[in-house]
Amino acid sequence: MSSINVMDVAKFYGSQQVLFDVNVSIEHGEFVVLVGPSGCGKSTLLRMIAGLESVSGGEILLGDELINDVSPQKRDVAMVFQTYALYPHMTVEENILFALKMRNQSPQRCEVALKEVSEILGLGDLLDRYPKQLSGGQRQRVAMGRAIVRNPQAFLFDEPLSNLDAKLRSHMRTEIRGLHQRLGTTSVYVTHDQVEAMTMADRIVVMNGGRIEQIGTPIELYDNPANKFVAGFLGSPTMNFVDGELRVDGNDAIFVSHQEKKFQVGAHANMGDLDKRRATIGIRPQSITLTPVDSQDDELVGHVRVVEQTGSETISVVDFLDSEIIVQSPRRQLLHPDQAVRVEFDMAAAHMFDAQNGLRLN
Amino acid sequence: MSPKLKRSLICWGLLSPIVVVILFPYLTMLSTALTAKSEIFVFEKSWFPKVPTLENFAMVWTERGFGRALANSLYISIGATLLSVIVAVPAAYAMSRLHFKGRNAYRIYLLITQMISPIVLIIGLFRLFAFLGMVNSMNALIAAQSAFFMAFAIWMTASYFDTVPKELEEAAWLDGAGKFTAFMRVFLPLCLPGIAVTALFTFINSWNEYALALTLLRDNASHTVPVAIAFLTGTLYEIEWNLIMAATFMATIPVAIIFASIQRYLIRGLSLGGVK
Ligand SMILES: Nc1ncnc2c1ncn2[C@@H]1O[C@H](COP(=O)(O)OP(=O)(O)OP(=O)(O)O)[C@@H](O)[C@H]1O
Ligand SMILES: [Mg+2]
Repeated sequence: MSSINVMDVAKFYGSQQVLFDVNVSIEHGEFVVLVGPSGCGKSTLLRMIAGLESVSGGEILLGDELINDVSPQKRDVAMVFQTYALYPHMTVEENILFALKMRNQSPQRCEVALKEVSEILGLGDLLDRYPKQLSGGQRQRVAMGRAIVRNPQAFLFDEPLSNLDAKLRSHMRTEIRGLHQRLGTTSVYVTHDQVEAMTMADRIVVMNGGRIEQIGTPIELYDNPANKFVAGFLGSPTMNFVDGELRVDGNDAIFVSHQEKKFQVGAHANMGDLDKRRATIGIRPQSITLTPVDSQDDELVGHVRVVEQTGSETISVVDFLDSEIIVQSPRRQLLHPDQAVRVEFDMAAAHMFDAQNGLRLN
Repeated sequence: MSPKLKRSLICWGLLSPIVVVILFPYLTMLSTALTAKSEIFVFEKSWFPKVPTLENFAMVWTERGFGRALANSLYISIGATLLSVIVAVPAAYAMSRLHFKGRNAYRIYLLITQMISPIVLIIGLFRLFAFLGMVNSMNALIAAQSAFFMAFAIWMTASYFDTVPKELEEAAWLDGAGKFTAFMRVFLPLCLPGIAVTALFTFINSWNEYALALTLLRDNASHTVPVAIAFLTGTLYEIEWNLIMAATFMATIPVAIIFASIQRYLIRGLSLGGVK
């Protein structure tokens, strides 16, 4: 088990650059999730750590060893692929033991390892089957078994759950987390699913367009997103954004939307230079309350467009300030489409971002 | 009548003329091969021999030395197939997996070689092998045939290799297998169907090849099957159809045997559930 240090790493495909100055330091035993939209370079980074892609610039260290030019065969990291990549012509047992055979382990050692792994993952009955005779979840488990059997320095996962249905996915999520707690092996986990990132990670690395946007624990990123991208990426339903301008007068700061609606902003020191700054406020669906009203002339009236009841909570889409605002209320709220509602933002929980560069202002 | 039964009846109905066209020559060949010479040119032609006989086979085998031709052909076809496959597999792997300069040029070059008819090159080849003192050498024919079939074999195996997911090899590398071990233990077993098909095609091509065999092997003792059959027609006063058909029938047997034995690779599914 080892730390992984990625320092100033860049990646070019031909003349096209897909990773820019990537710096991540993953501590020994940590479970780090790389998350970001499709095409942002997560898989590329993971495959560079695995040795399946060359490193165009910078350094990657596994423990203290520089592994830029070490072949994947010698890196001692295990990877679980999105497609599982089980060897179709080998039984489950042969699949799991392949790595040990390649390392010339004794048959006794193999037997012990096989027993242990099949116990951990509940593969006992499946050992003689071929991959095509397994269900998706079972294949997933065999792929995990193949990774853990040799006790590598690190596990690398590339969207391992994306081929499973929702229920199995949440089950495997817990299982992988449990496995990590039990084995404590350094893990890097790639996903584009922010729920997976939030629930599984010790720390999350949010990537976008080949760059790292922010690194931190799930709660840090959720509460203090560094910029609008991170704020919009994490959390479900996604954060609502309203464009407008800041007006600061001494200790009194207000945000004025393009529709000239005013919101009091929790002022803090050195906000003076933010006067007249174009800004975007971000507010989570959970920080908005809706109250049905009769009159249409209230300042903050919006109109309900869609209501979704999950049973315990209510998710509504409201037309407000020329855009769609998503609101999640933690109880059952009986609203109906076209109903007029008063929309109140909990401004203490709101985030403020610079409209130009997206950085957080408060 | 169920719709499914109806559909297959219609299909069979539409296909039967084609079936007749395909099977007719084969049946004619068989019936002629089983007919005694005396019965062939009788006035009242019948479709089937009155007294089926195997004497034609015996005659072709013993008096016309067809057994020798079969052995030659087997040697040459197996040799050409092995040589083609042994070269094609690494070449196709390079074409499908490795990124090297000029890969596209190489692909196109292979394709272009297929546009030149071997007949055009035959005189040149003959002079080449004459210069090397290899006329009448079956190994020379193996080399020449392989050279012609290679490009096709490479293309065919490469397009099969392209369908094998790259992750399987990557997983093997990460499992600690070297490039060569991963190739042998993981990649190659999955490619057997593709290689088998290629081998089959090469074998059949080589088995039927006439022009090169005729040119390079000048000696009666080294005739291949197609050449030997062609020479059976060569008597001055009559064409011995009964012997030709018996020989032709025997010539189809090795191909049929190889086809049957390779068949299970042909139908075996490709990735067998290894991914997804
Ligand atoms: N072999 C390649 N040649 C050229 N460009 C590539 C290659 N592989 C990936 N890319 C580019 O690199 C970028 C990052 O790809 P990558 O596969 O890492 O994305 P990702 O974040 O894993 O996306 P996803 O969530 O869809 O898997 C993409 O823009 C992609 O087009
Ligand atoms: Mg990816």
